[in-house]
Amino acid sequence: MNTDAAARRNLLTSPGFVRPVLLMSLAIGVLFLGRFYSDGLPSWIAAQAILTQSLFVAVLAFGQGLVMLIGGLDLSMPGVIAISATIVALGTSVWEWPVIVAVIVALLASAFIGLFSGFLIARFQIPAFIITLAMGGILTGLAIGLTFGRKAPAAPDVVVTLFSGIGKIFGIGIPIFVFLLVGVLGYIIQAKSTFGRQAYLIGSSQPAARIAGQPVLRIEILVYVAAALSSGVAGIMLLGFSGNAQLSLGDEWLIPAIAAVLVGGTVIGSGMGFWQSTFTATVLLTTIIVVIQATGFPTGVKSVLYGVVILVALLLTRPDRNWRFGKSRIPQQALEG
Amino acid sequence: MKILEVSNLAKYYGDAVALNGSNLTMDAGEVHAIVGENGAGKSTLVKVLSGIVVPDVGTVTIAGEELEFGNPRKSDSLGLSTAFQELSLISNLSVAENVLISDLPTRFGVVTRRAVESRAREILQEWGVADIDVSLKVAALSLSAKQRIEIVCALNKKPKILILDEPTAALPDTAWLFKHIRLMRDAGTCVIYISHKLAEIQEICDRGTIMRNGAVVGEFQKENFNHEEIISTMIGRSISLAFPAREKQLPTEAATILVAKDVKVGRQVAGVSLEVRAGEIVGIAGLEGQGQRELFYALAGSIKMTSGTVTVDGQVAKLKTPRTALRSGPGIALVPEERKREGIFADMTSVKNISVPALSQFTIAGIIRNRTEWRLSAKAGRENHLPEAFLSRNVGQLSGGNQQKTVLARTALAGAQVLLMFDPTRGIDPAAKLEVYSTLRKSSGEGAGILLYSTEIPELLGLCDRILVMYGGEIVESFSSGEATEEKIMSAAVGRHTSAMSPGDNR
Amino acid sequence: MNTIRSIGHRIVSDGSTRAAIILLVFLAVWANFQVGGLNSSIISGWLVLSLPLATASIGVTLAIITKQFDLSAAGVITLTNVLMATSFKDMSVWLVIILMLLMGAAIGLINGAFVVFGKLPAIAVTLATLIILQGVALILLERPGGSVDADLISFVTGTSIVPRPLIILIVLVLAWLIFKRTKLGIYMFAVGQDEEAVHLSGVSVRKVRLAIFTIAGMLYALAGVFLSAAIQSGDATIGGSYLLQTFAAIAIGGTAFIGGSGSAIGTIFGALTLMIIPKMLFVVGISDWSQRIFTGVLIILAVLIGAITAMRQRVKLNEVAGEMEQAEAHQLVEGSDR
Repeated sequence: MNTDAAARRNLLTSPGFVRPVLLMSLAIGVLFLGRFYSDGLPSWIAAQAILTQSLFVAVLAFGQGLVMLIGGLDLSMPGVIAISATIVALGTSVWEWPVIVAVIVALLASAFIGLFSGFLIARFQIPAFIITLAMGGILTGLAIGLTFGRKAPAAPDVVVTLFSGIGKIFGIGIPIFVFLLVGVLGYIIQAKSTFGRQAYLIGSSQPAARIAGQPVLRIEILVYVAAALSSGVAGIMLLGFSGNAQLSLGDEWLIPAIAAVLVGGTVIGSGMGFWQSTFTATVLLTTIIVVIQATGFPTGVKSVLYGVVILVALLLTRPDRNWRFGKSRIPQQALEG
Repeated sequence: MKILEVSNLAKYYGDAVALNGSNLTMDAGEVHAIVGENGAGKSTLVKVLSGIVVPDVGTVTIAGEELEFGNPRKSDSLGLSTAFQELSLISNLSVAENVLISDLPTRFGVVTRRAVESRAREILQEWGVADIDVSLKVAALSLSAKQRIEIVCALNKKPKILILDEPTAALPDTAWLFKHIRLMRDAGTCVIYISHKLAEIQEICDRGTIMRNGAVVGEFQKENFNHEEIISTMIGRSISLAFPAREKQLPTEAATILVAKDVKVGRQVAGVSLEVRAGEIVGIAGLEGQGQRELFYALAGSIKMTSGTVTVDGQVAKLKTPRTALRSGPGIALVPEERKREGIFADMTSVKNISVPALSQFTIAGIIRNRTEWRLSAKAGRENHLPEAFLSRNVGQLSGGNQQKTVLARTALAGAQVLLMFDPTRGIDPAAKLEVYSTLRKSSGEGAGILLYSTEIPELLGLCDRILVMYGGEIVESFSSGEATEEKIMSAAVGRHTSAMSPGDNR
Repeated sequence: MNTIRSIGHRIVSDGSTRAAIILLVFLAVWANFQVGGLNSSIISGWLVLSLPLATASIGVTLAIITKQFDLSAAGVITLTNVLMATSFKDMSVWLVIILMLLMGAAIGLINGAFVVFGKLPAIAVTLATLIILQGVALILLERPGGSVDADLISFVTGTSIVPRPLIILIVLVLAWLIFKRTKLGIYMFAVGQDEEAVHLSGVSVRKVRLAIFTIAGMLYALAGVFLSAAIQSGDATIGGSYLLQTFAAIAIGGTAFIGGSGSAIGTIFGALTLMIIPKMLFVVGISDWSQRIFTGVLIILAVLIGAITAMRQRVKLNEVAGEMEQAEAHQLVEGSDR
């Protein structure tokens, strides 16, 4: 077979390698561009802020990425975030649970939500976005109901310390370590685990996976459980980051998560996508947001800039020719015929 | 003047060569075959001519005019039309709309159903397929009706050059097609006939071109037609056409591994009973649409059986899903009908395609060990004659034959002892077919019981110990390998069976 | 009789019928519990609010039929609304409307260009355009304000014999029925089903996609005009909910998301249903946060019913196709004589 050199060449030119490198380079480039607007950029402080914020997007993008791999869209994320944060905040402040119990309850609730949504989606073949959209609404309503009459409950101290940037190890904020951990864990799950492989399989061809003996229904449901768990985890982190369980906690994070998956090159419903690309895309997108914030422009201008940069990023990181959008029914049959 | 001149055509995909300086010419008013293995360049040639693919080097001249590449409309305007192997009909449109798609009749901007349907009816009448209802959506048609419409769409353009790519794959009766091919040829059209079926080519074609490795390597005429010679030119070495023989005789006390009793599926399967013994290859013959697909898929757990019992190795088979079927006793595995849609994971490598059933064998604590996976898949691939170079390629880029090999390798890894093979050699080249046959032999030699559906009777005759003929959702005839002949099978397949045998009888 | 039935059958495909029935049920509940019954002004109010959503959702439906997600509707609506409330005050409002429609078409065309020539996924491009357009709207109008021409308001929200919005909806339905039978309409369904086959037959897939995006853009702008008449002022944040609501309307309306099929009529019913739910819940006594919960539950129920009936239909279709093959083989046998 081919020599090691050829194998290495294969790896270095594969989209799973090139794209993340490209995205990180763009992120660094954008950061340095920020110098035009602020002497504070580029700096380690800015980098830390970026990585901290990237954490939340990354956690959500992980779940969203799995869902998009198998052809769905999870719009319930803000709702799950709200419920999860509310459970932890209420649990610790009003119902006097130990933090760890509150966290476990919140995560269990998230998993159950994912189970329910996933069941409706997988069993009845209903488009994911509408089920998750409706679930999101239900959950937000529930969250309001739980906190009825009270102002937003406060986050427990532990969580705040962990995720608001107060807690540091060697002078570096804890969220950054968690961010790197998420990167590693995400890779292990998506690229290296049986579950991840199964998600790719049913994304690539559900009929083939079924005939080959894969438990398609189970895998689909588990994907939505994973996504809901991501949202649940993100909810707890955001709770710590912001200090209390506002209902709108998760609203602003859904679109960046979806954008990260898209810019990362995942093609919806095709089984094509890499976690490392999504992960680096979150860094890029967060860098863009932070730099734009630093410009001090009015909100409207910031939005325009954000949208324009996303378009530019999409154009620059277009997948290579083998990945055509809207898969060709008559395949390339490139090598033969 | 030649109607078609292909000069030095070359197409490369990275370091892979699809066309390597092909030269050929054709005259008006001839039926010209193009034969070759997959990978020989036939499909790429068709794609270049039809405007789907742009070559890297070379020119094509049609009736003296140079063809502009990469644009189906240009090819069409020069008088070239194609009936594709992968049917190019739009399933949510009606037959009428498909036939007239590029030329829809409008009145004040609106396409009235009446206008388009009556015009379409005229066209179908002209080409002898008036039995197809033009108001039906294409999705509701049978496969052979779709194939006929595809061909009619190409014929109707009254082209100078008509390309037919595997036109008889779904046609049970070639008479209609050949009649019109002859009519067109006599009227001056050059008909390019691409097929793996040498018998047909001998019947209808005036001459032919043999391609191998992207270039033209030989020619033949109708007069000096020699099967063996053509095939050996195609694959560059001489091979025997014979089916691999049985290695050892089937022991008379071989255990029965699959028993189906009175299986009914919806309205398509009306009560089928059959048995397969370990090491036996049982063939199912019959015209398309007689319930074979439903039978196979129900036995494999892929669709729901309405009633009936199925036992494997004496135990009742759990056929709720293919997964449970694979795990019922010795296991039932299906090699599906539509390779592209149900057989392969096109965007994943061969290694990942093959390893699917064995996920637990190369994972530790849920984590995939790449090297173990590679070894497992490579071994299975090797045993199924898949060239090692293709292990790391995306299966979607392989030829039909190699794609099927990955499917078979995967089935082998699944370890099922009952194999349901649905037309496994459809659309694959002769050399690959032989490799599939030897795989079948090997599996049966190792004790697997195989149920094989094929539309090619010689295959059934060459491989099977017994042949059952399906008609109208039932088994109407049963032959042992000694007593079966092509005529007898064909006769039963079209509904004439001896009165001694009544449908539903146990073998 | 038969022709009436077949016309009826053709006008309302199954998904749309289901949506209509669901709407009727909710309407009945609302009418029943509304204090003092439903009078013309209450119904009119509901229709006025539904009109923008319905119009925008039709545009998104067109994109969905071609198998693409268009997220930019909310952006175009917002921008249109802001412009109508703040600018071109010295022009005739009808001229302004035409200008807005052209703007919507241009934006749609740009979206299409990125997708077709830039070879980017529609969902990503339109997400970016959405963000950009919302930003532009915010730049133009930082706080809600401005005013909308009174003539326009009375035109859209008025009542002749029948509430104006209803008339407009009927016009949209007629336009849809005609559009379905135009070449572009047929090509739209074809492209959504099988892009490659359409390309092979010589039809320009690019032109079809560009045209559909452009028309959708125009519809979004039209929706923005209707919205302006409805809320009678400008608000750069108003469009926000439209992103999710348009898709919800389409889903409730019974359109599948696999490309190649869909109905604007179903979508209109879906939009009306979505807008009726809060009113219905309110009169039944459910308000506040529980309304969100019930809305979600009702939406799930609506699509669940649709999915189950669709599953049953699919099984039937497979049986029919299988039977066709058997019938063909029979024909062959009867016809031949070996």
